[in-house]
Amino acid sequence: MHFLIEVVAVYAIYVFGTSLLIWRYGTKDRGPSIVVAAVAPMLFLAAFGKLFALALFRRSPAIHPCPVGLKDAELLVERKRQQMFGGEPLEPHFASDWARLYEKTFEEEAERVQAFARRVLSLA
Amino acid sequence: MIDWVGGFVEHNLVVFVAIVLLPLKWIVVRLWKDAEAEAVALMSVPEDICYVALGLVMGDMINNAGSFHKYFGTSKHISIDIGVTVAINVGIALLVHRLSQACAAQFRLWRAADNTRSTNDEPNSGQVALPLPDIADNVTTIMLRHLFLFSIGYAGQLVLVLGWLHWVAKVVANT
Repeated sequence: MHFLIEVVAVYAIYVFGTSLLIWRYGTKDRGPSIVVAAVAPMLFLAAFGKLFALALFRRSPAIHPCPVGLKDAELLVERKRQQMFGGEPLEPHFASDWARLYEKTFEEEAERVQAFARRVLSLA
Repeated sequence: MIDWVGGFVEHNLVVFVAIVLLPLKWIVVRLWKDAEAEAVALMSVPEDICYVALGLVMGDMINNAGSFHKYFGTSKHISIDIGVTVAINVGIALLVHRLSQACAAQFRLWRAADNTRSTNDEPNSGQVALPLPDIADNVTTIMLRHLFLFSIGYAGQLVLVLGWLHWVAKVVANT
């Protein structure tokens, strides 16, 4: 019972803290952002569970291609951050990391298809 | 009745410290109407809780009849055990500080992305709206990414710190 009270209390404190921050500093879609923040720990646990299940069955997660213009958007956000808060300029890496990861999985997939094709051809 | 309430508060110290600290700190900073300090104050709550726990351990260390002396009573090296407890607390404080830094950086990026989205809706004079709907979608993706990372960082800090405080409070309450 004590443990349950504490888990609920930690979650309540987390929701209160993040909601307060989003409500005070958000400018658009504050309600949906609060909901996203509230369910974020559950999403994180679900993603972790999914990765664990995939690893158990020796499968790799599907990676979608990086959206067009994500790098430009990242640069725009970084410029805005500098305007708002100053500090050292940061090199955005989200889009490039995503593209590199997709490229890697794409190459692996291509290799797998090639190996399969070679096996089929050797049987023919 | 007072005994029962006191016992309940003592046994749920971890809950009460955290529940009281967050709104109280917010109210105190809010009174000065310092918007930026409010964010810093709210985000440093897990670190504050960590020092509350350290205070409980350190305060007990100097007292030979204290809770930790009783808790490690069966050990042959009580002082070392308490020293290790303090060292673990300091380690947690360092880790939480590092997490807090990362969390604050994500929070700033989230605010920047959120502001970029708003600017696109109502461009002020001298500001240019985002040229393509594609970019607006991408900014939303970036905004959600930073919001998610900030949330996970904040939740991670709270779980770590309150888990530790839970153990410390249990030791203090059981004497």
